[in-house]
Amino acid sequence: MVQAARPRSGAARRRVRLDWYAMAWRAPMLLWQGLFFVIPLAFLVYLSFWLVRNYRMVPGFDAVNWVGMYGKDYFWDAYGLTLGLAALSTVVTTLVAFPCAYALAFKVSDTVRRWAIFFLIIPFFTSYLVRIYAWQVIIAEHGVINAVLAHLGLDPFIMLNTKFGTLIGYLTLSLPLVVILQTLSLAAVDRTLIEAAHNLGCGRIRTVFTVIVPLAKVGLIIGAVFCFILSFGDFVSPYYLGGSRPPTLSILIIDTTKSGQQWPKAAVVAVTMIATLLVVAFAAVSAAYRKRT
Amino acid sequence: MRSDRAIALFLRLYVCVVFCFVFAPIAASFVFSFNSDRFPTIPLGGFTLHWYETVYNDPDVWDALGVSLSSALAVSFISTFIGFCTAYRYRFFGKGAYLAVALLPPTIPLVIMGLAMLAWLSHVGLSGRPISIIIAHVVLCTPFAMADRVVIMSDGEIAQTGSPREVYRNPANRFVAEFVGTNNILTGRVAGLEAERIGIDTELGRFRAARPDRPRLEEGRQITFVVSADLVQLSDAESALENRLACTLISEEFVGSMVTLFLEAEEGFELRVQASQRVLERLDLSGATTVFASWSPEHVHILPGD
Repeated sequence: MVQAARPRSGAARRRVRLDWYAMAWRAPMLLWQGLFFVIPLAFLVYLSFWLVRNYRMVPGFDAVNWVGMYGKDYFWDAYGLTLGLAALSTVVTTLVAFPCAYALAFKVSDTVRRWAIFFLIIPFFTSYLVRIYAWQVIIAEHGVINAVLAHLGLDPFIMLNTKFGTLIGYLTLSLPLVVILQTLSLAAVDRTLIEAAHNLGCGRIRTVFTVIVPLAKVGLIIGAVFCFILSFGDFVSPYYLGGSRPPTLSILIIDTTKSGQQWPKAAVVAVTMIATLLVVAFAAVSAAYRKRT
Repeated sequence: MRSDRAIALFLRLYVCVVFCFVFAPIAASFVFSFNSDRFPTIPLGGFTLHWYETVYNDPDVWDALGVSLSSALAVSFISTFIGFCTAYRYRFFGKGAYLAVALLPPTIPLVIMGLAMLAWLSHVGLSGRPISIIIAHVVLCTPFAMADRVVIMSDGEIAQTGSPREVYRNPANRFVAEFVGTNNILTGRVAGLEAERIGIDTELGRFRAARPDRPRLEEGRQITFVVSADLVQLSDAESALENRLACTLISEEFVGSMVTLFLEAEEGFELRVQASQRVLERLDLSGATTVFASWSPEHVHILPGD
């Protein structure tokens, strides 16, 4: 009823009428997120133009931090590394999650699927940091996996403090979420279309790639975007499992803030990261919702 | 089909492997919590509850637990309240920006949120206190607490969930159809299945409906369907829609912008129609005049749950 009551014509919409009742409902979110989300981020952008004199931050408006940071090779090395690792993590996580989500969506009963999703939520109840510490023990040179390998008479496989270690951390962070998102989108695919494909003689693999994947495209891409966002910004995995050298952008932020109050330079890195994430997220989401031609 | 079973078996094993990967670190921390060695190394030392006793007797841990619990409680209340308030969002100027502010926080890396909040909160003198923890976590939790769905419960069970429009236009069963909106509920048997349309034989005659995806229908199956009172048209015989009933007016109820009319059709069937005053003025509803209530097949909603 309210839907029908809203103004439809352009003339009616142009006449701005203050709806105090609606504003009262909107105010709490706008106030809180404005004060503690929008303003801090805007402040971060402002901070990137401040100066540091004698290890103290001085308000100002100078592009020196931007010029300085963008002129450094180590910044671009870290940028390339972070982008590459996040992209690799996105591809690996999506591929690892898909068969699992496929099985949960099509091969098990509703009850099993509900339990599986419940169990995939449990990791979010535990500390990510604690899980990463546990991985350290498992993949260390004298850890659980190498103890098993030694028992079998094999040489130790170095995983800790390598990019492989970082990748394990990224998977720990995003795999449960990606499996959940993929399962939900695959389960929503109309079964009759899959049956139709089979009836018309479409093979099993071909059905997956020409019918199921396009129909579940939005959910699959959203899952991949979340994986990219989580991996791109994470500092725990590259720090504790990847050995922090060479640094990713998030480690660079921490290093920069620790060394002589260089917060404005860290703000430059942070703003660059947010810009990159926004570009990637918008590109991916618009690709997800684009109509097929 | 041996290959089918092989694939099913492979997929099951694969799911197990993925779950092992997800739970390996959780299981490992659990196992090492009972390990007598100070550092988690292989091979394991003996079984001990020593670490649990140490933690249990450490007053700092209890203090930290208190801070965690009180912050979590405060954050839950505040974010749920803010999220609940966001449920009131019909189309308005700046809705896109409003939603962006509401939903963006989880997409900003935690390191950056931490950096920005520490910089800002210390600038305004709010950093390093329990209140700072609460402020920051409400920002991160509110997007997950945003209300956008209605849950209808019946006898302690969930009857339907969905957006207000979904629930209003596509009620899942008789309970929801009676509870939400003003619906005319009829039962009949499926007769005449076509690709796009079906016929439904009722005590009042045959009605036509758009064929739904679900439930699967076969001839003769008993179904319940609803026609929302605001989708019924009142007119004379010539301009009536495909599904029509000749009725007489029994009573009317004034509900502000709308009037609910109670009409009687054959067999004593009571039909409810909602119409605006403007429409009613065009009709002659005096006394025992017959008026035609009609609705299009697209506006028939077949209840999937009955």
